[in-house]
Amino acid sequence: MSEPAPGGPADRFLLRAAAGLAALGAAAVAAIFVLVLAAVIVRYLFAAPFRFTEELGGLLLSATVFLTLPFTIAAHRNIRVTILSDRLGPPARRLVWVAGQGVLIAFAAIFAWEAWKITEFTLLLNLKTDVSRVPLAPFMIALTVSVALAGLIGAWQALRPPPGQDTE
Amino acid sequence: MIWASLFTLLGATVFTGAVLGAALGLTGFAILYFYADGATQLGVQAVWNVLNEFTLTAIPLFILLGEILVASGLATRVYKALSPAFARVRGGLLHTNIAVCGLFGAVSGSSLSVAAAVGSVAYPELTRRGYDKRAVLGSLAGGGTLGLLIPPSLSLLIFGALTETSIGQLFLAGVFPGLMMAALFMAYIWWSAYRRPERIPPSTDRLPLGQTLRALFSIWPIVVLIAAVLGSLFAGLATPTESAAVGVAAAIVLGFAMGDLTIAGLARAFHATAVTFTVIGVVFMGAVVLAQSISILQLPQKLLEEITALGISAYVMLLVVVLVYLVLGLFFDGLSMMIMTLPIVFPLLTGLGFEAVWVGVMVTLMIEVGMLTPPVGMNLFVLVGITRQEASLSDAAEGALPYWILLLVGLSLITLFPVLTTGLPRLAGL
Repeated sequence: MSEPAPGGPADRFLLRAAAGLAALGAAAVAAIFVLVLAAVIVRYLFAAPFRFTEELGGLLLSATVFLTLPFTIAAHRNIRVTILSDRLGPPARRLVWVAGQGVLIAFAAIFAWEAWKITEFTLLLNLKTDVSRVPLAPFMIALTVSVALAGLIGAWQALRPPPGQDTE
Repeated sequence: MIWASLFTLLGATVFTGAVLGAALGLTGFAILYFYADGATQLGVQAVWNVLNEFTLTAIPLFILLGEILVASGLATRVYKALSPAFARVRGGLLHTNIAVCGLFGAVSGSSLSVAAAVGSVAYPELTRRGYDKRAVLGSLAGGGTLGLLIPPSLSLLIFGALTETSIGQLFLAGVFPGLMMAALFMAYIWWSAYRRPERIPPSTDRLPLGQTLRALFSIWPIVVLIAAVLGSLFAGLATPTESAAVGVAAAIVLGFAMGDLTIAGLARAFHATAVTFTVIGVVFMGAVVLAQSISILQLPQKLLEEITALGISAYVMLLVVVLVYLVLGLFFDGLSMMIMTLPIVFPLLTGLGFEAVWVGVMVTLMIEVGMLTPPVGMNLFVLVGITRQEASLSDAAEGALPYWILLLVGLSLITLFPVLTTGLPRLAGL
């Protein structure tokens, strides 16, 4: 579960970009904690609950996932079923690794493309949340960019040996 | 035809070793594209809607609570306080492992956090005293599963959010089965120590009763945390999300005041939470796209109609579901297994007459079984990591085997006596 050792400039750039976004993801977790705790406090002490807790909490939740996604891909933290590939010899394992990364790239490409269409629509109508009027566009952009970056990192990793075969 | 496409695509994508969420999601996109007039955008919209669900914010907060408990070192204090209480019982400190795991399970919703927090304290201490390492690892792996069953529970939270079942009811439903499993684990430890006394060294720290009780008093920080989390929730003062936030605040205060928590440690806990939640979130993304495709094509309803037409009884179907989970547990980690199977299993079992909260506890027990099933049993991995490779995965699996069997015994008991799960929610009138 260790982070991959940075190789060339492209590796370092991708890992740093992903780590920077993950730091924002961690900040989003901290923001969820502060928001929910503050909501409890004002509800009990001042009998005046925030109107925006649920909507903002939900948006911060999705921001956490999408901002941290590229890092989990770059650092090989995601869950994979490797029971089959672990038993293959190096050439076959490399082939299966590329196929697996192909699955990730295809999923990210379709997801980012469909998300971009929703983002365009959100920007066009300047959509906001129902109650607290928080603009949705920044969150949709974060979603689209993060998934696209995750796909890009997946493509870059496909050119490298699978984890555990780095010394090949 | 659709079932053949579904399983072929799923097998072909998952077994390439692709990121699991991507494999599930790509299968869902393919089904939406080819069988639902190219409606792939529905999958993305469903993901957006689910990941904006406020109820789910309880998940990162409970993960954060577990991370802070690990970072603050409170486990050491609680472990030392409880050790003398079990020194007189046959099985000694192996009972302490179960008891401390149960206590930590009542503040943390994660099996891995509990196994990691208690294991990092207990393994070096018990092996130093001459306990058999397989027995220690088994009790920690088994005890760790209590983190998922005793409320608050990540799996029950996710189950509630995905199936729109009351999380308060689910948490209450987990109380008796959690205590029952802890009692079964302790009974096994007692019996095992009776049969093979050479695996457990004689106790050297028997204290007089007064001192033992005084030592017990020092577990109060964990009692405060339990009161903050479960007390606020069950007293109706807070929602699950709010009780998690209150618990995090209490853990931070206690961690700084009485534990080893530092600002850097807290920052690491936030980062680790974001990463852990995203790992779950990626499986969520893929499973939600897949669930959307399955739901649009009304596959669970069709399956239910076919089963009803065949006249298969509810209990035979339950047995089939359990067997499927046992097989899936060989390949998938527990939470992924639940997220990807719920779109079919939940409507199927509730359609056959099983109560929603009972299904939640049953699925959680199966996740726990998966946590102890090699080669991907996550509790086993965490514990082997804690031993710094002193023990192998097969040592941990061998030690955990009796607990794996006991979890299935527990499942049989809640099937024979459903009141064990449904009784408390009914009593509370939720």
